[in-house]
Amino acid sequence: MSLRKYETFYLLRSDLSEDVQKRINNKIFETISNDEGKLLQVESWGNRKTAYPVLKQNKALFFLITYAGQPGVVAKLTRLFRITEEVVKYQSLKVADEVTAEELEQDVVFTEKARDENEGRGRQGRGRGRDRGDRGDRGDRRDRRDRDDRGPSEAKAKSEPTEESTEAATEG
Amino acid sequence: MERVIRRRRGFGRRKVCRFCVDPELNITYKDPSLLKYFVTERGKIIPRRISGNCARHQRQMARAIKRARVLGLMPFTVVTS
Repeated sequence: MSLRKYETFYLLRSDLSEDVQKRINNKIFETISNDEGKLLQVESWGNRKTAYPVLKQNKALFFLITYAGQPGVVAKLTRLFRITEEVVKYQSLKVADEVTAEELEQDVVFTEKARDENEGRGRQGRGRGRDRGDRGDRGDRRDRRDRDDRGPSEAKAKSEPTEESTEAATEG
Repeated sequence: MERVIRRRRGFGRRKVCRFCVDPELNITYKDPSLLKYFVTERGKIIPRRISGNCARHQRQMARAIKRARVLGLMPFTVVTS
């Protein structure tokens, strides 16, 4: 059976010692290799802030693994994640239906991605300004008002041209 | 009734879809720094008519944002007091 390419993103509790992290990761990697699969890439994002508290914690260890496996691996991994308490969150996705031979021959690539602080600051600083410019709330509000106008009496809304209809009329 | 047919209003330039212009730009849930431009301060997904995304990319964007939310990479909601 041909192998498929999957990726799984999982979060571990942030208070784990490196040993425990390693133990859990190894268990995950074993699960993949035991099933005739092959680990392709491991990306460690480190200890980052989560966007919202997860299990009453604001931080978690983020990991992203890419691997080749038979269709059953995901189910096996999911089972493992569910019985491992240290795993806080996980999500698996199929990346491709097939894996190339080249990919299978290469060694596992371990990478680290540490840009936690930059991103956190960026989101608050840059993000806020940008959001305000694009801000959809104005549009939202107008829609809601329209609906309210239409709601109680349709006749009234028709006789009183709304902003939009007058504009359309002047244009067309 | 004909008046109801809406044209694009006089002001503003029709935005082009960023992702159609730049095919190297991938929409992925793994890149919250990109996704954040497509949510409001409150964390809501910005509608297509405002973000300027094309239908296809808006779909991908929405999916990516939702995936990122599940993983704690993006907020479901931001409560501002």
